[in-house]
Amino acid sequence: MSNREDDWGNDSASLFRETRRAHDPTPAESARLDAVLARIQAGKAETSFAEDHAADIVVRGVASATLRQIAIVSLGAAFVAAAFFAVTQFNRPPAEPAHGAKPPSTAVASAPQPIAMQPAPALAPVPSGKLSASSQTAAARDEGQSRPRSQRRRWRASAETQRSSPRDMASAPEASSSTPHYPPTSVAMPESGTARQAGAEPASTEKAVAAIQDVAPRARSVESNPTEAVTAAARKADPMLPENAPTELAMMKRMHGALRDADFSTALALSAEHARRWPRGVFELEREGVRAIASCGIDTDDAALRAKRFLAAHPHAPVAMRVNAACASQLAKR
Amino acid sequence: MKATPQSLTLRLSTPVDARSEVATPHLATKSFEQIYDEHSDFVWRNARRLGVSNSGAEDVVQDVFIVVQRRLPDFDGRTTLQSWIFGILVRVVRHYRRSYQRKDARCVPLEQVGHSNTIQPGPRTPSEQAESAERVRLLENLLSQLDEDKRMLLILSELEGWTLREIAESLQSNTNTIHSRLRAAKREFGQLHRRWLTTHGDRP
Repeated sequence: MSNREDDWGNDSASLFRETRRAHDPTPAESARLDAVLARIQAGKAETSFAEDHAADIVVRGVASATLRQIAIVSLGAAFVAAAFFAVTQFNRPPAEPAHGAKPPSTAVASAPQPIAMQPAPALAPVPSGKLSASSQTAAARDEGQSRPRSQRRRWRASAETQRSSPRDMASAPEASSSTPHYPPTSVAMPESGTARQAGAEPASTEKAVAAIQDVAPRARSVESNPTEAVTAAARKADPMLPENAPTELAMMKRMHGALRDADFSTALALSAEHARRWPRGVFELEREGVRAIASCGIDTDDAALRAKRFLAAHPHAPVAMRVNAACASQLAKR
Repeated sequence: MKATPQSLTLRLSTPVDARSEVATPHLATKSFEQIYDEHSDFVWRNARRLGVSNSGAEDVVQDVFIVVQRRLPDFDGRTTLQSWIFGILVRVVRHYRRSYQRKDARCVPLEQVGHSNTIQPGPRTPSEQAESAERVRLLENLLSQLDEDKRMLLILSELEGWTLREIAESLQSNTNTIHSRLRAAKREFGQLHRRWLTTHGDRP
């Protein structure tokens, strides 16, 4: 057969075999299960779903599957319709400016022109949060004046709905520039004062744009802060962190493999390497046990001393019993 | 022909409650407590394998057995009781998953499931326990990448050791369909596992 059928190999089968009992409840969890039984028998237990939903839980979920399919089809249709609407709106040619109308004077003012008929022209562009309110108002007014009368009326109506009070139009820049929703850490806003300074709008807008452009590199420089790289390197080197455990664990696995194969010299070399890389690693204790066992396996001169020291220091370590068994002859000699 | 194996013909000799005596006079005798004792571990471990967190598993077990208690009179004995309970479990877990998607409920995606209880106590060294826990984590991670049907088939077949016939009856399908689906599930799991081994080297 093809290689695809061989994908289910011994590795996968053994993974399932080895984890077969892994999810059995522990004694503590069994106690929780006993408590559940007591609750049910006492009639104190309630389901998280409605009473009549219990029947639906039992019967085959045919109805729910059908409903799910209907919902998926409906959502798909809605998505297609929305996409079609968006495409048609996007491709609609922008309204021609009236004859004699002054073209927008700044780049920022002309930028949102294709969406000028949208209800919130001044709020739509991303920089608007950073720009001062005066520049927003100026840009919006420029758009309004470049419209034919009928469109301008509609624009004005929509623009007025954005303001809390139509009478504040003249003082809007001042009021808005002092509103608390502009973060103090943002760009130093070019305050243009009142609406009478509308003639200076291009300059103030350009200042705002320049200020934003000035801030942008600074923001990027924060991202490339070298201290983060140092922290990352420190985390990478820290053996006690869980993400480093797999590598250490792999080393321990090789160590145990060497012990199983009675390759004590390799086990000793690996334990030395482990001690060099993770002197205070998660498996430090176990490494010392393996080192003692491997020393006894080779029967080095210091094997008995090492085993004795280990057992004296860690008599209740999980690996102590194995050390005891492996070093029995060396310990008996002393 | 529909041969019913011995294991599938569950007969209870005493009613579980008053209603079951009327509805299923031929069923009998296991008290609800006995049924709970026999199957609560099964429900627990499969709830965990289906992605319910350790804290949520208790609630899932409770919901499953409340349904079992109420609906046992409707159980007609065409499948094993365990298959029937598994069907209830699957739907309860789905319900929990939906409620998790709506708000912060007790069923979380497998990759977020805590593994604190996967290290079983025993005469093993810390690294062996860690190795075992990592294998469980790998299994859960790979299973979570399969769709629910494939995951269920692998759990029942490879972890619970059910026969194809038992799985087919539990899922109300036929044996051939289950067989081909199981092969597809194994193939996909094997590919994921192979990819993982290639990426992660000699880890378990």
